[in-house]
Amino acid sequence: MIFKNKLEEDKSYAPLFLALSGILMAVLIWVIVDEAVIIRPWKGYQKRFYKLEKEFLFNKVLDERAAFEKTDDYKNYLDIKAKLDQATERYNSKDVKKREKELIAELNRLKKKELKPVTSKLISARNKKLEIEYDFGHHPKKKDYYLKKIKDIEADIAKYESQQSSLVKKKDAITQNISLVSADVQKYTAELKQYTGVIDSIDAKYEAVKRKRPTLQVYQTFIPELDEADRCMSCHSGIKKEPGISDENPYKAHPDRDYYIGNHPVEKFGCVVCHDGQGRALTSVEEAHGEVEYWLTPLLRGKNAESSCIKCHGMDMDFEGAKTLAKGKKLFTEKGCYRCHETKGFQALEESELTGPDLTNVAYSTKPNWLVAWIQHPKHLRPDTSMPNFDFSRDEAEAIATYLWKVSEQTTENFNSPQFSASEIDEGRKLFSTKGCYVCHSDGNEGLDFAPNLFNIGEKLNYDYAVNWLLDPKKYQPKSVMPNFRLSENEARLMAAYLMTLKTNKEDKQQHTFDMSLADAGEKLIQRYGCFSCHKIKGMEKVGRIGVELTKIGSKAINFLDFGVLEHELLHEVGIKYGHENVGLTRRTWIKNKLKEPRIFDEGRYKLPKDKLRMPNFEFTDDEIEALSVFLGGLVEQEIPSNFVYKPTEKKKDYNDGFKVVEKFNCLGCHQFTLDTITLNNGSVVEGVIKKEKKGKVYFQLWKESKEFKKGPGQTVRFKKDDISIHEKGIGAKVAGVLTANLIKDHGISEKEVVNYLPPRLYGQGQKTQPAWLYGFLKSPIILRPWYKTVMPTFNMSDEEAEKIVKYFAIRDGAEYPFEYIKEKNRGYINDQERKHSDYMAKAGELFNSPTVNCISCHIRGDVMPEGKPSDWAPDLAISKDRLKPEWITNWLTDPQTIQPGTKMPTFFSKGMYQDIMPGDPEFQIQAVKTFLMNFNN
Amino acid sequence: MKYKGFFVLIITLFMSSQLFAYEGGDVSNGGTVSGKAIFKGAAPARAAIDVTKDKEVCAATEHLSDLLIVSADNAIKNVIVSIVDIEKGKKIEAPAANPELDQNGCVFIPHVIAITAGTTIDILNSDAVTHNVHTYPEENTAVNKAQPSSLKRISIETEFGEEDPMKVACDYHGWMSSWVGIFEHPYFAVTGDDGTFTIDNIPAGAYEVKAWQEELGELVKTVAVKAGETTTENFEFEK
Repeated sequence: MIFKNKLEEDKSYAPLFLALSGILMAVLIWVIVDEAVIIRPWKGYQKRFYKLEKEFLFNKVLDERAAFEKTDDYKNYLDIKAKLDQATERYNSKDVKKREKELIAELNRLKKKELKPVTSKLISARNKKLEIEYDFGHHPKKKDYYLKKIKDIEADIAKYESQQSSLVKKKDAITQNISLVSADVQKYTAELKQYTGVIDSIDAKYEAVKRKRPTLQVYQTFIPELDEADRCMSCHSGIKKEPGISDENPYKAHPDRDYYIGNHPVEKFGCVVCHDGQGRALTSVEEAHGEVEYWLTPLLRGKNAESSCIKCHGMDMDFEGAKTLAKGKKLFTEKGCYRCHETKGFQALEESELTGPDLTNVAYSTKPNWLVAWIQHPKHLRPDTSMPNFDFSRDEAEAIATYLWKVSEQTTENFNSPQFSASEIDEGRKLFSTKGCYVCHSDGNEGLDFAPNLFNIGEKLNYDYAVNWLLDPKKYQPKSVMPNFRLSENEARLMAAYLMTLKTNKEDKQQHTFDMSLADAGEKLIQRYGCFSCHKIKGMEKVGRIGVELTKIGSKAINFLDFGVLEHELLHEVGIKYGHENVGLTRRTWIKNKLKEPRIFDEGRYKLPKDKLRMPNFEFTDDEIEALSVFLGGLVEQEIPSNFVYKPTEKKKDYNDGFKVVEKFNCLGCHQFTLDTITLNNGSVVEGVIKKEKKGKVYFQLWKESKEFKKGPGQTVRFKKDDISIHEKGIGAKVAGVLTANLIKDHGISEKEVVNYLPPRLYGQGQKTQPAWLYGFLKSPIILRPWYKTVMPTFNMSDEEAEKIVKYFAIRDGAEYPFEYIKEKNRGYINDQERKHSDYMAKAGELFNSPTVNCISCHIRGDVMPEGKPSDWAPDLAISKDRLKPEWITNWLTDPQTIQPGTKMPTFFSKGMYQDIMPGDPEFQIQAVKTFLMNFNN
Repeated sequence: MKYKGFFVLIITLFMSSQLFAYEGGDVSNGGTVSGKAIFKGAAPARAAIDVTKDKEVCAATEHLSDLLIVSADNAIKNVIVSIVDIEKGKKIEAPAANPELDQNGCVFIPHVIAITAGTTIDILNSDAVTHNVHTYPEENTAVNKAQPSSLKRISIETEFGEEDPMKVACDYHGWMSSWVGIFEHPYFAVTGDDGTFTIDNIPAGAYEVKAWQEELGELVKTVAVKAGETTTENFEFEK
């Protein structure tokens, strides 16, 4: 030791202390640096954010100014500014200033020297009067004396009051003069403010941040209900500010800020409730994002955050801001995932619908060759089918088909269709092309893909079954949405004949027969692979599910997710080594791989056949897998307090529920539900339909008034195609193009007239028809327009479904629901009219039947059809009283073009007409005809 | 922003006028296109109109079909000849009075007219029956109004040029029809009984000239117009 042999007094501890104090110092410095900088990375972010904000505001002021200088208003601005300068100069001139000074002096003198003394005299006189009045009451003997005194003082008061009022007038005059001196300056200053108000306010903001940078601090949102303290905004300082400050993370604003933050204020919801992560952590980016070992809810990046919407919005959502999630939910529903995997929220659907067809009559409906081939490779026969691939061998498929054959209720031996002439088949084709089949089915060339593609249906269907199926779809498939077109037997026969020709291989094949000894093997396969989950198979209606429950898959512990031997390989692909490094990512990786190749985790492992994975392959695209993964990620175990749960207003809920039914029955296939909305570059908006496009110009028929064009419904406006900034297409009438072409081609209808054959637009439907009538019509449609080739089929809707649609229209169009008082049908109302106007109803009837108006020359009247060709006819007036709303009839008779531009119905009523029949103005005549119609008795 | 509304107004005003406008002015030493519409083959005879309704009025005098009128020397009447989409030329002159289409004896008289866009047409009813004025424009706003005999005149406004002439019909009497050519420039003509037409004061240049007949369809020819000269261009229609 260095101190050896030294006396204690001689020893120096200085180096030691120096060293120790050095260490202490270093530690101190480290502590300070660590405390101030290292564990507070957010400070750096915040500083930079405020710098960016300052720059942004500075540039914005410049930009706004530059933009303003380019507008036409700028000239006005300069004019006013020049005027202001002149006014200020005048105001500042010696004479004016002097005059202003004089006036102010005069005012002050008047107030002080004249007004004040008079006012105080008046007050004291009034007080004096009160005193004398008291005395008057308390000294009855000296009444006269006090009375005189009161009179005197009243005279004084009157005198002072008149003096005061004349002085006040004088004062007001002077004040007026003073303000006149600076009137111009004030006026122009105020006018300038109108132009520069916006710029000034931005400038003020800029000046404020320039003067002093906001204090650096931890921004925390505490949400007591969730016991959540989110400090995310300490780094993401610009998240709720206006976009544009920076596009760089973490400074940028929330994407679609007004939508997301606007609907979910950060103060109430925080960040973590949607995005997950570790809201409290501030010490590092990884900690804050929860992308650290064993953290159960790591940050949901990008679209994955949509998963969280389910927490509060539930399954019943289709929001603009959660498109991926909605797509995932739609896939999950359509592909019937919930049929094998129990999932909370899908029970009702399971009862009401069937994902695959009912197979109880398969031996009657389907040709044997097709059935076997289909079971083996569904997508080989119809690429867009929802039926997944089970990877069955030929023998397995044969066995399954045999079992289905064995348990089928109805069977047939003969799969050959009768012979039809070419003209009969063409007749069937015409029926197919215009009745409405294309609205849901495609034949491979045209038509929509709402229901199965029929390009190869002739290979599959048994002719006899096809006829019966077309006549009554519900008989064989009670849960199918296929409606009944009320075909005659002959029509069904012809249409089926045409369907039989839809096949890739035109020759009739020899159909093979099944060896019933295979049925047992088939039964086992069906039980193992759960075919009965999606199909109705006789004898297997009550068999339980074969898949794992998915209700909480989004928070399932990762040790329950069996990667088999592929864990390292698959996790390596997403950038981690072990699952616990990022729990969320690991779960998503497992789900995605499972969806892509459902039996992948069996790879490289020894398993007994009975233990092997059996989920079939749906051949999802990457986008679909992404969407499903977002949806499944949202199925988590978390209780959300009820005040966070989204509660749509009753109206909104009814509207959404109704629209779901509209979608279920593909009403949008035929009917147009909303108009085209076009926003032009100059900001004006027009609603209606495009009539024609020609040489870069658009001729647009308005259905709603346009203030910018000063035109009303029915009129045409024209604008340049290049001027369109947003074109929001009306929804519905998806099949209109195909239908139009076929009506022209197959029925010889002219291009001009074809519009009279297309399914009616349902714009404003709620205002048009009476709810009760519409309800009945939906339940059991009648033919309203006999000239139509296309048919409104019978959907066999449930009462609830029909009601939902009626309610939807009422809400959408702001109509009364469910009851409406129709005064026109009331005897009292009619008697009243008869009293006021003699022969009211008789005259109305005369007008209705007169040769000039002659409603029934075009309109059907019960079973009386008008003369001429059916395409010139119009709907039945005998049912108007139950069908139409009186108010609508009034509007319709007044000017049909404003309600349904392009209608054949002419305007009948204008001033001075029909005076010989029913004297009065058009409003009166229309009221009368309407009342007549509402009581029309054929 | 405060000044935005003003801006919108200005643009809207522009849109309805300037951006689509034909530019009219003085044309010095303009050229002329004239010619004749000729029917190739034997001139067809005009059939009598088959009156199926309101016979006491409509069948009082016999009317021959106006659909195709060919003279003995094969000249076609009522052919609308126009220069296609000419953008600049002589001034558009508003007619002194509104052109009229008279429903007289359940036919439209005249059967074919041509006007400039913006002109108002008056539809008259000289008959003792109700007609129904129904226009079938592709660009303009359609009109569909009942016209009882008490309503002598209905005015129809036009705004835009029509690519093809606009049909005017009466829905009550299916055989009644007339055609109105509507142009955004003044270079058009309708052939008379002799089938001839003349379009004058055209700035020199090459143009597409279109001849249209309701039954025979349309013929389009490219014509070179020379300053101060008359170019003759005949249109030969075939059925």
